[in-house]
Amino acid sequence: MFIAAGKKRKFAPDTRFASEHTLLRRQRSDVVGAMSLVSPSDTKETINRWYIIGMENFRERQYRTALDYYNRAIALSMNEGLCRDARLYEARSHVLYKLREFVRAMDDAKEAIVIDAGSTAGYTHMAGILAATGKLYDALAVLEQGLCRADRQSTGYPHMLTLRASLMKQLDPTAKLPVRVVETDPVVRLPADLAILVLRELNTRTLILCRAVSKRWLALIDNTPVLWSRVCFSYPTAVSRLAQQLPAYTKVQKWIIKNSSDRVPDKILRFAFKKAQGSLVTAFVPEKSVVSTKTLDLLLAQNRPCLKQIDVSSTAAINSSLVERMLGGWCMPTSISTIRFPYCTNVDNNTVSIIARCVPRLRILDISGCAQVRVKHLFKAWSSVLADAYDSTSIEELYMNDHPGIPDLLVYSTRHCHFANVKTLHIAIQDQRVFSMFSGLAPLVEYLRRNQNSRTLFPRLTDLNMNGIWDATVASQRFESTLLHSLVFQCRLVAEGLSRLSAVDSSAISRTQLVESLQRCLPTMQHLHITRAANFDTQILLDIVARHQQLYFPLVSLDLSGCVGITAQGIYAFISRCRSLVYANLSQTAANNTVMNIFTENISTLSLPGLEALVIDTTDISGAAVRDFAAACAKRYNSRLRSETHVKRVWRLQLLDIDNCTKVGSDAVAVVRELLSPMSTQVLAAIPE
Amino acid sequence: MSVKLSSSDGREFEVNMKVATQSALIKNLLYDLGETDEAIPLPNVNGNVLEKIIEYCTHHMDDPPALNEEYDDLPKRSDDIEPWDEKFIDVDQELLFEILLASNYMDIKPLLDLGCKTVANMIRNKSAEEIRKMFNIEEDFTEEEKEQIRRENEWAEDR
Repeated sequence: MFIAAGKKRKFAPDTRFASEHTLLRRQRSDVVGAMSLVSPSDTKETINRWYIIGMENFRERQYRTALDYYNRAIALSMNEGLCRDARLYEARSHVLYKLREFVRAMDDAKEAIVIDAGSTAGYTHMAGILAATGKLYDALAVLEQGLCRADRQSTGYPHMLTLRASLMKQLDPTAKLPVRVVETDPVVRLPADLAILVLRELNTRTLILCRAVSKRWLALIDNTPVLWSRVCFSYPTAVSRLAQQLPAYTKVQKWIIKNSSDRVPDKILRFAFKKAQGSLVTAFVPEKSVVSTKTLDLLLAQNRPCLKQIDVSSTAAINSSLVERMLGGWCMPTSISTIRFPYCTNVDNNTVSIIARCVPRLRILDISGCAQVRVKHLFKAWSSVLADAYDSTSIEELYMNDHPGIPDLLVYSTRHCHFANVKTLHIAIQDQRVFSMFSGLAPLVEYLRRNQNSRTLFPRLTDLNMNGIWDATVASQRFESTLLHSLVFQCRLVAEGLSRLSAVDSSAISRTQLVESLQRCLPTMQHLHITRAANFDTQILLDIVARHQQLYFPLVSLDLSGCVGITAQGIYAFISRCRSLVYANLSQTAANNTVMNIFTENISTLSLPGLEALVIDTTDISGAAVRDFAAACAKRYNSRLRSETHVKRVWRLQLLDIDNCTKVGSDAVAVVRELLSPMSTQVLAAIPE
Repeated sequence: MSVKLSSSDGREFEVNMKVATQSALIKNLLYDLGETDEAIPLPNVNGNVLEKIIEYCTHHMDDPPALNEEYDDLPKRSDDIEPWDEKFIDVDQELLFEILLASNYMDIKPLLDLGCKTVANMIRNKSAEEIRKMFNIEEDFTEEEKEQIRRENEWAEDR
């Protein structure tokens, strides 16, 4: 209905344009005249007339005009809610075929067959299209199907027979008669192990849909636990990857929320856990899904020797006794490497003790927002399983976002090496109420000052996330947050070897803190996200660039949005040293045309990885610079498509955000959109499409 | 240095060693037998298919060996097929299945992956009815069975 309405709107004003082909114009005004007069009983007649005009045009080889009439007839019949006419789709399929628009032609032919299973023209067109695209066997299969279903008396029947004969001749000139019957059902055609390999590529939702195909499919899917071993409801997409690379870019979060799946019902989870039987690898409950005790019981009801990962977020149903049952009974605790209980309110000290006792070789632990877990206890629990207090646990990734124990974790770590193997540490604060839970920070800061030692707390740290810790909106109100700043700074978390630093919303970070942190770790940094840092100024960047005379920085993703203290010159000096950038967010900075030109230059250099997402909605960019950039992208894209050389990864510009670029006019935006359309780049600009 | 391969219909192909050894089957055979002038028979693979497979292996001759990823059974992305591969695999369904079978038999993992991914992409984002239509499958459920599956699948369907 939607499309139909749009189509209709498009046709109506056509009568005004005098430049149209005269014949066409006459017919159109005739048609529009007819439309205004249309009463319900006349509608059918109008459709019929358009169909006939279309046929006439088709015979005169006026394919575009014919298509136009068929489109109208179909639109009108859809608009009026009449029952669909296979004839119209057959005709449109034929004309599309003549125009070599095979995909659309195929759709129409299929549609015709759906409406009328005996549509000889539908089968003939479909086979013709398949044959034209080189798929002779498929074409033959379609014809065989058509010959079975269509009426032998119908006019199109002999035509199908001719087509079949000629196809068979092409396939095998010597053979007189058919031809083996081609089995087209993958589940039947392929041996079971291969069919399973195919189905393994699908996520749980698609798998559930596939159960309804046929008995063979249902039996195979239901009786293969491996297919259900990882419950998963979304495919990783380009957008989700973008969100990972540019976490501070809020627009992309909005797309995800818009496109994210709604919550998965408890029933479905239970179903999947049941089917997985002993081969369950991940006990995963997607976010927003409320899992019931009944489901958890089912999860516990049998042995799960392959289980590696327990990932249950924001569920009140998880508590110590349940965790004890899980880890104590039905799985091999030694094989478990990941436990994630973020925002599970009932996880407490006791739970941690059980985890430490049952899974001493744990690699990944997520207790974000589990306010009941005391950090002191965390250390104590693992002490009891370690050989001695100077040993380290095997935990490599520790997630403690929004946790009131963040300061304690840091201070304890100066004395004990429990977490010396940690490579990934996330201590971001999104929920600002957490600040009010930090108490007694002053003695801790004092303690650290007196016991200043040179040891790095986390010598293997490569990924540090402290979003929101330096957020000034709290700093102005709360004494604790200022203390936390100096505490975190004194711990010197940002050290050499760090490859990923995320400090989104760092408005209160001081200049000294920035200089010290960045100078140490920039040579190895691949992901740097420091946003809204008011004290980040040009001089810091210029100093760093000057100090590292020799090298290009290995940065892959950079986010400096909202760092208003840096001038265009500073950004230019820095960006020109970052040649491997793939994701960049420079919105609300002083970036100008010179910066844009560097990006253009980098894009033109085929040996570089090439930028895939650029957010640069700043007011100093001109239309010409953006146009040049888009032209360079288009050129790179085309050269990669044409080149016969080996392409390992498909490069394309995924995102270009020039939303607030007031100097970029509508003409420039139109050109940019045109240039980037072949690689379907998402272009965000103030001027809508 | 080259190796001779012979297909089920008696066609012989002479290919570069680097091309042939992408098939773990042939690699192991050569390792066991030592170098040989005789053609290696591949009784499960017919000439057309073998030709296609050699085309693939020739293109990917200089690829670095695939890494054994830890989480390689996670759902794959649908859009990470190389353009050349995508064009290569855009063939008759029948030939596609033959390639799948042959790459399984000859143990060429990247080609097997590509084939599986391609078939999976055909299935993805389609309703059961559309899948049946595409693969020409007859629905053989009774009314009661249909009703039961419908109840079980309710959530997945109405989205």
